[in-house]
Amino acid sequence: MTLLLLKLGVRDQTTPETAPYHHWVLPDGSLWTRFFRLREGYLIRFPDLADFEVSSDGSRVQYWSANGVAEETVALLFNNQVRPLALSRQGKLMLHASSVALEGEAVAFVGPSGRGKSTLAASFATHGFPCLTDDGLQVEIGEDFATLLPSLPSLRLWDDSLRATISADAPRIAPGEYSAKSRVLAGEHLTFHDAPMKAGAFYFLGEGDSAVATFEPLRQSEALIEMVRHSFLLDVEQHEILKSNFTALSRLVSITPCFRLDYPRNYDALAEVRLAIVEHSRAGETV
Amino acid sequence: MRLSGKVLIPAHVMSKIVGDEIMLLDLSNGTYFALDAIGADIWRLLERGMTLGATAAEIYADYDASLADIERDVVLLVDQLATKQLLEVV
Repeated sequence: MTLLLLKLGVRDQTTPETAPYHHWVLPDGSLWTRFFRLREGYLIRFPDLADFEVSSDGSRVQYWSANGVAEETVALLFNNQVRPLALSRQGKLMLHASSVALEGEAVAFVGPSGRGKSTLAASFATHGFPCLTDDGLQVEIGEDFATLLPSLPSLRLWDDSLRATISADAPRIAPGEYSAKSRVLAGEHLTFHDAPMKAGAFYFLGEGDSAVATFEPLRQSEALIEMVRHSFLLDVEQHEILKSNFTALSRLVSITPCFRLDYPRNYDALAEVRLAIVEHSRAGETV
Repeated sequence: MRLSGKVLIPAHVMSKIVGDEIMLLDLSNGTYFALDAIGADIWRLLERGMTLGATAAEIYADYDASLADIERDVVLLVDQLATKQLLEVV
C-alpha cells in the first residue's frame, strides 16, 4: 500500500465534534499535537500550523495549512511526524531512529528527539558512511534478518550540530516555523544511501552520562520495551495494529542485536565515538 | 488461592517468547509486562492447562529450591498477574 498526499489549501482550525483521544506535548510542557478520531479516519492537528486528515487505513493523507504557514513547514511536519504515523496505520514498523550504512549493513540509532540521532547520522554521512534516514525509520522484517529502508535524502540539524559535522556553508533549507533546525540536503557534503539495507544492529542512545562510548547488550525483553517506546503508532486502541506491531517487534529483537550506547555529548568527541561504533559493528555481536 | 486451580488467559492478553523471557501485552490498555526466565517457565506450564500445584512440581524438578517455596512463588505470581487481569484463576 502506498501513501497518497493531497494538499487542500488553507483553513481555520475549528474544533472537531469529538474530544482528542491523545496529545503530544513539547519538553517545555506546551501543546504540540492533538489527535482526534473522525467518522472516517483521524485528524492530526498541529495548533496554528496545520491539520492533517489520515484515512482509516493510513493510505491517504490530506492537509490544510493554517494561514501564513510556509509550505516547507508543512512538508517537514508531514515527513517527520505524519508520514510515519500514517504508515504505522498501514501496519508498517516505524521507529524514532536514524540510520547509516556501515560496510554492507546498516545500523540504527534509536532515541527521543534531542538525543543525538541526527548528529550521529551527519557525522557518519560526512565520513564515508552514507545516511539512510535521520528519523522515521521504516523496518521490514524478513525470515532471517530485518531490512532498514531509506527515506528523504536530507538531515535536520541544529546550527551548532551542523557546524560541527558538516560546515556552516553547506547548502540548506531554512528552519520552519516550529523548529530552529535547518534541513541539509544530501550531496557532496553529506552522502546518502538510497536503497534498503540489511539491519546490522540497533543502538539505543543514552543520556550522555558516559565519558567514552560504551556499549551494553540488551536482553531481548529490554530491547522490545525500548522498541515499543520509540515506535510510531497512530492508534494504540486498534488491537490488530497493536498485535502486529508486538509480533513484528518481538521478531525484530530476536534477529537483530540491540545495545544501549552512551557517549559524551561533546562535538570534539564525535570522531572517537564514530570510530568506536564502527569497531563495535565490525566485531559483529549476535543476538 | 488453591493449588488445584488452573488459569485462563483472557483474549485481551497476548504473549511472546523473547529469548528466555516472556513479554505480555494487555491489548485493552496497551500495557506491556516482562516475565523473567522463571516466570516464563511458570507461564508456559500454566498456559498448557496445568494446575498451580502441578506447575510448582514441574518447576521443582528443574530448580534448586524447596517445593513449599516454589508453590508459594507460583501462587504469588498468579495472584499478581490476576490482579493485573492478565489471567483468571478457575
